[in-house]
Amino acid sequence: MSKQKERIVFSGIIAAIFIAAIISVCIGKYEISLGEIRQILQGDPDVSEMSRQVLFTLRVPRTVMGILAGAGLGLAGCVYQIIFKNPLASPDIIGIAGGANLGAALAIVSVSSAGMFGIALGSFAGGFLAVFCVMLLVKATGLRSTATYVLAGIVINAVSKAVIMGLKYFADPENELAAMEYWEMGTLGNTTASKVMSVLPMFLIGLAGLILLHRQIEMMALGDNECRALGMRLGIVRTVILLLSTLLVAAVICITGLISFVGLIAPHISRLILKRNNFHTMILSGLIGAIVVLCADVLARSLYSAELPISILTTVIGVPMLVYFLCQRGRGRSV
Amino acid sequence: MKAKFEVRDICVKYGERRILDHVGLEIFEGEFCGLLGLNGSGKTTLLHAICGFIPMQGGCFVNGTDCGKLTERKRAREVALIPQTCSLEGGRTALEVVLMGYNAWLHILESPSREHREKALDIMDKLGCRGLADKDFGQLSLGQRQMVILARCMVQDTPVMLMDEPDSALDFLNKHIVLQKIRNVIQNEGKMGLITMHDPNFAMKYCDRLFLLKDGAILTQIDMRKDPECKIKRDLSTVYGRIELLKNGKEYLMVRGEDA
Amino acid sequence: MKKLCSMLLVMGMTVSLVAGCGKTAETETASAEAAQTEQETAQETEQESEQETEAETAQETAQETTYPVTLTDQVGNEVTISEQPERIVSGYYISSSTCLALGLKDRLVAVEEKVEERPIYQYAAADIMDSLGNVGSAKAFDLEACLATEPDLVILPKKAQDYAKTLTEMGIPTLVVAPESHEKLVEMIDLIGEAANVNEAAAALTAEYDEILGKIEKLTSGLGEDEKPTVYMCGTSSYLTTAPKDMYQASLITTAGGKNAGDVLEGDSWTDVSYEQILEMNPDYIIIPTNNMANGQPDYSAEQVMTDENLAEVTAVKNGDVYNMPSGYEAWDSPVPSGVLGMLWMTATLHPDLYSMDEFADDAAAFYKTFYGFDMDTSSITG
Repeated sequence: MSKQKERIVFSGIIAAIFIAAIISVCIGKYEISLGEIRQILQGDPDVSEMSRQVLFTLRVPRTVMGILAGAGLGLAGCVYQIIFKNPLASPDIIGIAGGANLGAALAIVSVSSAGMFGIALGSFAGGFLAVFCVMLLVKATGLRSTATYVLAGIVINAVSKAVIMGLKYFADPENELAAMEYWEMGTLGNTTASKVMSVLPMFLIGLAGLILLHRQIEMMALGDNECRALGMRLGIVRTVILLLSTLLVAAVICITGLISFVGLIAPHISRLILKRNNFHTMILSGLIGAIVVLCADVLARSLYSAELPISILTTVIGVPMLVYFLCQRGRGRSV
Repeated sequence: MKAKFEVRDICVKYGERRILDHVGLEIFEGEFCGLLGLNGSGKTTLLHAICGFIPMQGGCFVNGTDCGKLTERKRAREVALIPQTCSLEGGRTALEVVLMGYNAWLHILESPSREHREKALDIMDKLGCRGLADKDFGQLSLGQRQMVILARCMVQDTPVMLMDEPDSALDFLNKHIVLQKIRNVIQNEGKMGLITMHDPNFAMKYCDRLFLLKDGAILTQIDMRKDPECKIKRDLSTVYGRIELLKNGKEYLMVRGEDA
Repeated sequence: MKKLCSMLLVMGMTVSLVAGCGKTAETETASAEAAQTEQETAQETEQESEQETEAETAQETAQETTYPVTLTDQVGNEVTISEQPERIVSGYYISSSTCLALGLKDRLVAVEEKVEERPIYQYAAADIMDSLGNVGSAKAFDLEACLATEPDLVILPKKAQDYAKTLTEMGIPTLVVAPESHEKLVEMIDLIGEAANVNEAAAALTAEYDEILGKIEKLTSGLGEDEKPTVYMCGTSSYLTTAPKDMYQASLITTAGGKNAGDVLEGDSWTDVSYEQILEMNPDYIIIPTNNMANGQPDYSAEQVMTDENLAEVTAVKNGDVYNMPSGYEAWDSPVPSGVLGMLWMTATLHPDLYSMDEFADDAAAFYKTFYGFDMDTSSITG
């Protein structure tokens, strides 16, 4: 793909995100008209206080969170796929989602009044612990190959699933179980300004770190030995990159719950569009994730009288996109 | 003083099994040396041990610096490796692949500059693969890929170049082209090259010296520049069994001998 | 501030007192006035004379809430309500039903989703069904839909306490309720009563509870241990789950003069059991609860239980004592405001000689007439 075409793709998708964001801000059960939004932005005192509150405490944070969530999952998914050289690699594969899920579940059960922040903390800790365990397992086996990481991830996932099942069994169905299931379902419906602000620093650290390290991530598409022969301190670099992407994922899912499929398809779509697998692919993957989650969220709250779980819609939107680009590729030349 | 690459007494064990047994060799500036041996003789293990991929006893010294004590980053400034095939599956332009060679010289957060780019293109030009710069690495032929990897290796700009059967996936013509390019680079730039190969004929044609490896130990070495035919034949047969050596002009050609 | 605190204190005492009455069921003919007299006495004895004036003020609050009022909800949050709420959102079927029972129907502006599947709305609130907003479920609460109704009081279950926090941040008083037991239910009724200034209705409802509980106590007090049958309460998802010792449904059985077969199990939520365990329990009665939506039975029927050959040797099956709790109104096996009817029904089922099903039908109809204002078709119970 030529530089010019690439530029068109990027400006196109940024424009699409912008439009989707505006739609997202305008749509909701609480009616705020475009005119009212303009008045609010101009600081007009005539607008009702509640409209202003809904806009700034719910609507805008929700939209921002949608963009952050999609971008974070898309970018992290792309990073995982590159460094594990596995087109199926997603937070699940190396056990991050499992660990984060377990952490959240533990927080729900052990801290009786665990609010969102307790759960957030739990999912952070769980995600990091999962990565740590994966590293430890890899070290214990002495085999530093990609397959070992994936296997270790499967082990971690299995262990956390078992523990979660146990927790669920003993959980109080009215409160804790409901909270666990809510968390597994995923929604942007409970996003508020203060929550977004509280995870924003972590999100930005993860994002900035990954962008700064993009050359190293790109190189990790090579085999382990080749990386080392080119002078990469693989052990440290891989650990740092994994921690950063975990930070990104945990920052997102501790607020939204698990949003499925975005981390898997966004990188694929991005690769199919750019026919490349480099830094630009990572960025585009993040942008695609953002647009998918934004659209899914707009639909989630407007399709039906009640809000639908967002994972249903990310799948419904993502799959046709993926199929379309796969067919395009089939007709054109292979990547 | 002439640059010197020295491997001293390297031993590698996998569990109880001894893969390399007190291997030692020396290579001097501008020399292109071959490492010959049957499958399982420890050729690749030796290269990996030198690169620090596997734990070993012994040491390897580039102009007196012990590579074993260096970090990956520092070591990559002394020793470069051309793998059998590049593990990259595509999705990068050839130029991007070549630029990876700068990794050991760049700060971890630094990106290659315009000058780096120019220099990389110059090197590709020298190797006659500049036209590939913007092509996707995955779409190149295997011969073109090895050329790009050679360019990356030159960008890495190390005194020592290790090559692990870089010709194994190539056809007859490409083998000659690639090996000739490698030999030119080593001679012209005064590098020290160590290549593992399967085909003794190519080795005899392009290498200055050959190390014969059997069961993890170097049996003997052949200096193609001055050893007589009888020594070459005798040494080769220690590894390859009954062979005949044909002479074509200045070059030797090895064929399998008739069974007695 | 001091006044406020003492008001709270008294309020708390009132609640615990009423709850205590419910638990021991000592009051036999407790009317609203009688209960209040008792409260007054209790306040005076426990609170020294210096606080008399304040106690009196508190007494007044039992009649009339003075706004602004600060209440402590069932998860311990302090909630200040500045004016009498006129637009109430209830995101939980139990609190919604309570609002209806307390005569707050016309102040309800939105309730939880799936109201069409809960028959009580059809009976007690048919006229406002169309205008009622839908704020989703406790798991996926719709904050914007809730705000769009411009509520001045929101009542949410414990499950949704995170949403409650958000609403509180936005300046909307939000009570979190957790009616997990009979005592907690009574506490919740009083809480809502005070928050919405319908203290009298709340007192009347809780007094009715005491009366019904007293009646059951009187009916069953003469029973010897050997006269109390063992009752197996099926879970709502499968009859291979049952109510363990600390579950609400277990207390239902005990109150009605039975022994809960599941008492051998620890826990407070539906617990899986095996056929072997049921045979070991060998219950005299098997009860199938109304499903949670109250519009029917769970996915299995009494026939299935009767014809399950693995259970053929169980006394209840042999005698044909497998019963469905009546459906079509509310889930009487759970702590809803009409939960006492579940206890009454259980009494009538276990001890028809002490209390007949016809008497129960009359009592149930009277209950719904008094608090929900509709005539109940009792044929589904007696027939």
